[in-house]
Amino acid sequence: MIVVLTILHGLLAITLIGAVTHQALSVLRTRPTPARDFFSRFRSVSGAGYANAVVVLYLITFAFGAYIYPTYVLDVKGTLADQGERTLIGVFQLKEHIAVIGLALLPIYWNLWKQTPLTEHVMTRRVLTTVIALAVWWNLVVGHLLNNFRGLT
Amino acid sequence: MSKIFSLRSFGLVFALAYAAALIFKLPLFRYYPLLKEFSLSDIGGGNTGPAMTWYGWMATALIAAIIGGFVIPRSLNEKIPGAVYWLIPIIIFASGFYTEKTWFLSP
Repeated sequence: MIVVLTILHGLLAITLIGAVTHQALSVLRTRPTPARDFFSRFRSVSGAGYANAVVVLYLITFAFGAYIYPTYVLDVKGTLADQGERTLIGVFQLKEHIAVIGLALLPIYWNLWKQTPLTEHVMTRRVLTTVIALAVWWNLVVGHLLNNFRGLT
Repeated sequence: MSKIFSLRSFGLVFALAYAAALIFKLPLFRYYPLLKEFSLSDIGGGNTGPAMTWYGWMATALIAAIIGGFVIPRSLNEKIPGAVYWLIPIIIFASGFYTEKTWFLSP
């Protein structure tokens, strides 16, 4: 069961990463550019249209992670500690705080995308969206690597 | 809802309260996964297994943030420069690293 939940957690994170990366790259544009190549087309999206999806996906992914976390503490963290892999444990411990960064930013992020005119707080919207994207990328990579090193069973 | 509750205040207070909960070790509760039990106090030692404080830190921050969201007027909140919100990741990451530093520093 825990393996299924861990895979679902990963799949949700990949879906989230797709949405938030589209949005972050689009918001980092300083002016509209013609969608000539793949990268231009990737970022030529309406960022506001992704805000609800990012919030919902983030919360669901976070909830899955929080649910399977105790199993990690019992099964994986203890093994890593026995093997002296303190840095790996530390990196994963930071993952939980980085996930909270996104959680704290989500209400402000949603307010800026959905309740504030898009002509206001442009730079703040850009910064917060980018930070959320970086947090999601970091946590997916760290979670994936750690799961490869010592997965939940 | 949005007229009486400020999402920006909620997020800002959540970050500050989470950082304070980490630094001053103020989890609202602890979870003992081996026992599958929540406890308002530290019952560590013996055969309790490891204690998880992460949920408790978030609960502490959530309560403070809900109060902040209702109490801090939106008019005041809208005067806060946007750059203040940029500090949220720095505050949480710094307090998180401070809490977890032993994993990186000690042998």
